[in-house]
Amino acid sequence: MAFYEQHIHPKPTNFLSKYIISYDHKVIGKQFLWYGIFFLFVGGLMALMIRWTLAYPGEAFPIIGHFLFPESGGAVPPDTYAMLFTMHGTIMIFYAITPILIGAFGNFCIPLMIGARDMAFPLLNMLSFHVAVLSGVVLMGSLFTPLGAAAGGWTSYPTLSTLIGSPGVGQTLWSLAIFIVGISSTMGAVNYITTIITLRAPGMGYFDMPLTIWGLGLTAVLNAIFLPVLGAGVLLLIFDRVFGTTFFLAGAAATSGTGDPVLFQHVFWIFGHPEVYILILPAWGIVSDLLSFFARKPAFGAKATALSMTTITILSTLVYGHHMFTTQMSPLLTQTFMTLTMTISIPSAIFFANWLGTIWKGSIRFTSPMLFSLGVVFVFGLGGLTGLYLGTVTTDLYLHDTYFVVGHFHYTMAASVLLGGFAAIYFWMPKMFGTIMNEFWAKIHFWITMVGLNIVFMGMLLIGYAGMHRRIFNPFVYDFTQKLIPLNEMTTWGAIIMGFAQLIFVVNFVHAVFFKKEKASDNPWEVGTLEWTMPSPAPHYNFDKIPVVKCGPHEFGNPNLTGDRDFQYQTEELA
Amino acid sequence: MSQAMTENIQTVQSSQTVDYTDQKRVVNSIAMIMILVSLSMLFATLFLGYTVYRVSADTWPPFGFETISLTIPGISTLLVLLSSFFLVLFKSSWLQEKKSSKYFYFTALAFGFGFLLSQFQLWASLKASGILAGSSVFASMVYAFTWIHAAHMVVGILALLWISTSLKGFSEEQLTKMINVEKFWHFLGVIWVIIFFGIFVF
Repeated sequence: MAFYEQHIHPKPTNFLSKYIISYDHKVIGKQFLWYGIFFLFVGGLMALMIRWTLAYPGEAFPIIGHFLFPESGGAVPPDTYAMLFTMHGTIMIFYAITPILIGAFGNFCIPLMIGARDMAFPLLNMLSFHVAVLSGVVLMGSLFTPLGAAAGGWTSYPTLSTLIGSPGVGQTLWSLAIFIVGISSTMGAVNYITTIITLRAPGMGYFDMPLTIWGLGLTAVLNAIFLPVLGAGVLLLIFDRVFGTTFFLAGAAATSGTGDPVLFQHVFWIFGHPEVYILILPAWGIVSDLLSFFARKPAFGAKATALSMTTITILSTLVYGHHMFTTQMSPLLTQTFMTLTMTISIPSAIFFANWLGTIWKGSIRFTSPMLFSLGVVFVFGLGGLTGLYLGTVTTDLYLHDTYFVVGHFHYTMAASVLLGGFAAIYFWMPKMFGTIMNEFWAKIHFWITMVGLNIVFMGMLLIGYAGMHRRIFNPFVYDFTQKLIPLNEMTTWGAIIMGFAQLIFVVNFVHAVFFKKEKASDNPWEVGTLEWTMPSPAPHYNFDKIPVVKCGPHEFGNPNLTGDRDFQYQTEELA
Repeated sequence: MSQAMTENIQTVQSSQTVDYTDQKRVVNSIAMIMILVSLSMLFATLFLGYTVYRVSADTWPPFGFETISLTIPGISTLLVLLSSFFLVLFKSSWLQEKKSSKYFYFTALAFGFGFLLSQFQLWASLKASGILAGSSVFASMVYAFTWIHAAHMVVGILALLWISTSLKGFSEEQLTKMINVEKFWHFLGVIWVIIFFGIFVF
C-alpha cells in the first residue's frame, strides 16, 4: 500500500472558495447533496404527475396543473406524459440517486472513514461536480426545446429514440447529458478507487475498512468499467441523430442502411444491469455498517458481507440478458442468463443472513438511521424476491413490460436506495453540518414514508400482476384494466402520502442546517469509525494527525473497555 | 492485534521512508490505468457493435461498397507508430539529459499532427468516393471509429503539448507527468492499430 502524507489545503476564506470552487471533499460532497436533493424534488414532482394521470386520466393536476399545461386545461397531455416518465427515470437515476449516494456520501465518507485528508485528486473531484452540473443544465434545458424533452423512456430504445421516433432536439440533448454525466461519474470513480487503494490510514487493511467504503469502492469499479459502455452507446445514438449514421436504423423505418436497433438494447443493458448495482451497493454498505452500529454488536460475518458484495459486483456484469428475454434471444442464451441471474441469489442471501445475524440479540437502539436501515432490509427483501420472477424466463414472458417490473425495480432501486440515503443523511448529519436533526420528526418521516412507499410499490406489483402495461398514457381504454382503476387510485394516494412525508424531511433538514443553535457532540451515535474521532462538523483538514488504525470498524462490547463505553475507536488497541 | 495487521503497519512504516514523489507516481499511475480501462471499455463497446454488424451481414462490405483503399489508413498507422517510437526515444534521452531530446519530442509531436492530418485526408477521400456517414452501417462504423479515435488523439496532442515544459530539464514531477502522458499516447496508438487491422485490413 502506497502511503504518503497529503498536503493540507489552506482554509477557505471567501464564499466562492468555500462553497463554489472548493477542492475540499466535504464541500463537494455537500454540493452533490444539494444538487441531488434538488433533482429528487424535480423527479418526485414528475412521479406525482405520472401517478395522478394514471389514477385520474384527463383530470387537471392539482394546484400547478393549470400553470404547467394550460392548453389541456391542466391535465397532463399524452406526449408530455411520455416525457414525464422518461425524465422521471433519468433524473432519479443519474441526477438524484447517483449524486446523493455516490457523489455526496462517496465524497464525504471515503476520506473521513479511511483516515485521509482529502481525495487523491481534489481538482478532478471538483471538476467532477462541475461537469455534473453542466449535464444537469443540458438535461433541464431539453425540457424547454420546441418539441419537448426526450420521450423514449429512460432506456431510450431505438427506434423510439432515433429521429423517426423522436424528431425533436430533446432526445439529442438527453443523449448528450447522459454522456456528460458519464464523464463526471467516471472522473469520480477513478478518484474513489485511487483514494481507497492508496490513502488508507496506516494499519487499515481492506477488511478494516467500514463496509460503507466497500460498497462505495465496488460501485466506483463498476462505474469506471461500465459507464463508458453506455457512453459509446449514446455517442452512436448522437451520431445517428446528428450526423446521419445508421447504427440503429433498420427495417421499414430506415431510409437506408442495415443497422440494428436491438444492438442498442444490448449495449444499454451491458451497462444497465451493473448500474442497478452501482446504485444499490453504497446503500448496502451503509446499511451493513449502521445495523451493526445501532445493534451495538460487531457486524456478523463482516468479511463474508464484503466478499459477497464483491461476488455480486462480478456476477452483475454477466446477467444483463435477463432484461431482453422478449427480444427473440436464442433459448440457449436466455437459459444461460437465467441461471447466472439466479446465482446472484447466493451472495445476496449470504449478506442478507449476515444483516439478520447482526441484529440478532443485539441491544438495538431504534434511532432514525437505524429505522431507515431496517426499512432497507425490509424493502430490499421484497425487491429482491420479486426479481426472481422477472429473472425466470417463463414468468418474465408474462410479466415483461408490466407494472410488476416497475414495482420490482422501484422496490430495489428507489425504495431501498432512498431509505439508505435518508439513513446516511440522518447518520452523518452531525459530521456534515455540525447539528443533529430532530429525532421525533425523523421517526415520523420514516413511518409515513414507509407506509406511503409500500402502498405505491406494492400497488404497482399488484397492478402489474393483473396485466397493466407500463408507459401507456391511458391504460383504461382497455376493458380488462377497468377494474384496476381503484387500485391505481390507491397507488396514487400512496405516492401523494409519500411525497408529502418528504416535506417533513425538508423542514427538518433545512432547520438543522441553517437555524439550529444546538451543536451536535463529536460522537453522538457512539460509534468507533475514524470520522467520529474528530470534532463535529469535520474541520477542513479532517485529521490534525493521520490516525493509525488498530482494529476493525465494528468493535462493540469488548470486555476490556473501561468506563461505560461499549464501543472501541478504530485507533484504540485493546487486548 | 492480528499478525496480518502488524505486518501491514510495518510495510506502511517502511514505505513511509520512500520518497514523496515516488508515492505520488504510484497514485497517478493507478488513476491513469483506471482511465485507460474506462477508455478500453468505450472502444470495446464499439468493437462489439462492429462484430455484431459484421457477423450478421450477408456480405461484407455490404452490397454496393468496395473495400476502402489501405493507402491512407496505412500511412496513418505508420505515423502513429513512428510518433510512439519517437516519444520513447524522447523519454530515454531526456532521462539521460541529452540535448538531442528536444528533437525527438518535436518529431513525436509532428508525427502526431501528421496522423490527425491523415485522418482528415481519409475523411475527404471517403467523401470524394461517395461514402458518407449515412451510406451504410459499414460507412457509419468507419466514420464513428475514426471520429472517436481522432477526438482522443486531439486530447493526446494537448497532453503532449502539456509536457513540453519538461524540455527545460529533468525533474521528478515532470517525469510523473511524462510517464502518464506516454501511457495514454501509446494506448491510442494501440487502439489505432486494432482499428486498422480490424476494420480496414480484414
